[in-house]
Amino acid sequence: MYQYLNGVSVSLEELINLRFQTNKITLTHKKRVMTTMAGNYPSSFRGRGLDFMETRHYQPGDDIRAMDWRVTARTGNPHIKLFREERERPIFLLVDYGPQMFFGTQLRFKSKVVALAAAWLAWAAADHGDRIGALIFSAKKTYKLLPAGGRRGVLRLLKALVDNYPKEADIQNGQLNLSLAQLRQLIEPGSLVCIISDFRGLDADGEMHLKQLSQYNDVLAVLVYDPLEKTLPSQAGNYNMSNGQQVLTMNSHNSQLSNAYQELFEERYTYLKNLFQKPSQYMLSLATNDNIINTLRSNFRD
Amino acid sequence: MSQFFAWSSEWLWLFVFILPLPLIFRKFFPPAPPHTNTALKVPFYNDIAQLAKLHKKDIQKSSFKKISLAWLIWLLLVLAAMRPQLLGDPIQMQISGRNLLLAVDLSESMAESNNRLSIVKSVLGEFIERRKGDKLGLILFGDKAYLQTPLTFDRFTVKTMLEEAFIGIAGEKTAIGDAIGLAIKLLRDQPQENRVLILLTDGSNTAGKIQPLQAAKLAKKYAVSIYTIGINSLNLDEKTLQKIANMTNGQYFRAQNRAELDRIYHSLDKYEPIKEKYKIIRHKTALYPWLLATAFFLSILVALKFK
Repeated sequence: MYQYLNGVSVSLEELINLRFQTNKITLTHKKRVMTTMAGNYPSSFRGRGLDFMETRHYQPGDDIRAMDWRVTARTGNPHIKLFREERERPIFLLVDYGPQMFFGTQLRFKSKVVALAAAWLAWAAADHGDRIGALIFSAKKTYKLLPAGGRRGVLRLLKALVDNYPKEADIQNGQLNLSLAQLRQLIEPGSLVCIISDFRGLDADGEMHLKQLSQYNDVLAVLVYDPLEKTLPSQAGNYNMSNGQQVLTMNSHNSQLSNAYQELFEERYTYLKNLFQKPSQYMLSLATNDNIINTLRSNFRD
Repeated sequence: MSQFFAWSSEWLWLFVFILPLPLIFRKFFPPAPPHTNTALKVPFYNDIAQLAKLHKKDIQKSSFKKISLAWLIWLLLVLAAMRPQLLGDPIQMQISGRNLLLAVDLSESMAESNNRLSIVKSVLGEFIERRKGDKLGLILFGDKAYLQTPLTFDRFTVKTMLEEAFIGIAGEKTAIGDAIGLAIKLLRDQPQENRVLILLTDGSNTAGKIQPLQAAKLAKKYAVSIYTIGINSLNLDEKTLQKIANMTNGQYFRAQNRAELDRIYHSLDKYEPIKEKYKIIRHKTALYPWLLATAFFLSILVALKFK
């Protein structure tokens, strides 16, 4: 496919081409599909909406404030009214373009995955008529985009994604914590926040901001990682890894070491999974060697 | 029975010279240096750096284990090469120094008249039992001659081999010349004064590459005495057998029945008496298989554990 030709850099053309690969999905993740309807998580409704959807039988646990008294009186059975949240919901993309993202051992760089995922999400939002805002950050600077709707809003974002694409790798992380703080000031409550990052460098401060953000917004976390972060290469041997000054030799022969290596990733993964556990939050992960479009698509409702 | 442990003395030098071989090898052929000059720059270096510190000790420990195991295996191999053995009690053994080959005709005709072969087997079996101290060998011949047992002191095996023989195992015809030829070939490597062949047949030469008389000439040349035994039958070529025996300082016998055959073998005992000469030997039990087996299992362990 076209976008596999170059796994390092990103071009405007391929980001625009993603437009026809969204398949008109809704940016509501699959896990949450029935929860709003069954009323188990009333909190996942932002402001409970104004659009009346339907009346159905009352189930224990439903909010009695939404009782449909008329229908209840007419039928003799308790009924309840269901509302749908507002259709228009701005989307904010938090794009991690830190120098640590300019790295990848299979198929693509992590930064490339970030760009593709951001573009795809933007197109999916535009299909729905949502406005798109973004905060693109690297180690040194941040680039803000206020929400704008339609094709213009997407194209503006795509250009920013191409223009701010990282140019060299470093062990430095992007300033995720600072960007989360900035986003809180930028965002309109009731938005969908998509954080596309590897979440390295997230500290207690950042966690606090995340908590605040998800109080009034839906949060979609996209964890981008490289297979090498997850496991040592399966082929036995000594692998030298360096930070530019020091060299470490990792012997994948040593099962103890390779297990500890894997555990390191799994620990981080479960930590993040726990962080995005609330019904209004959702986390999905993208490996650099995944089929990105398919993985993204499979996580959302058609 | 008392047994004691001993090293085979001629291999003791191995211990001194072979044992340090790995060290010498390592000295002159050092292992390739690890590729410290090429490394992948990874952004998450700091995380894995902490990992390496945690596991450094373990890595060293396991490599020490590995090396000591390797040395243990090597030591076992060297010890096995030194041929450790258990020596048993000294046993006196009669040795005549005589090399006696028995050639038995297994052609079709041996099955005739009350199964001559079974008679031959029982008589010859007893004869074999008596020949203590001789080195015995067994040749069976039919279309061709085949060596059934090479020269050995193990009379029991020779007897068993003879008893397991059956008509037709070597073909239908009678290759007397070939049998003599094969015997000469085997005996010419033995000391000259002790080359004896006892040839038993019931027919005339009907197959084979060498004519019996021609073979007898060769036998004379190599000082092999041939005793020929003819079993009474229609096509017994007595003349040839007689000639062969005469040419080679042997004797020709003619057997009519079992009793006669028995007598012939007894008279053979007279012509080639069992010598009363003793040699003291000790029974040796080689111990190297145990060492090798241990080394083998240890190497499997190494292969599995330090994969």
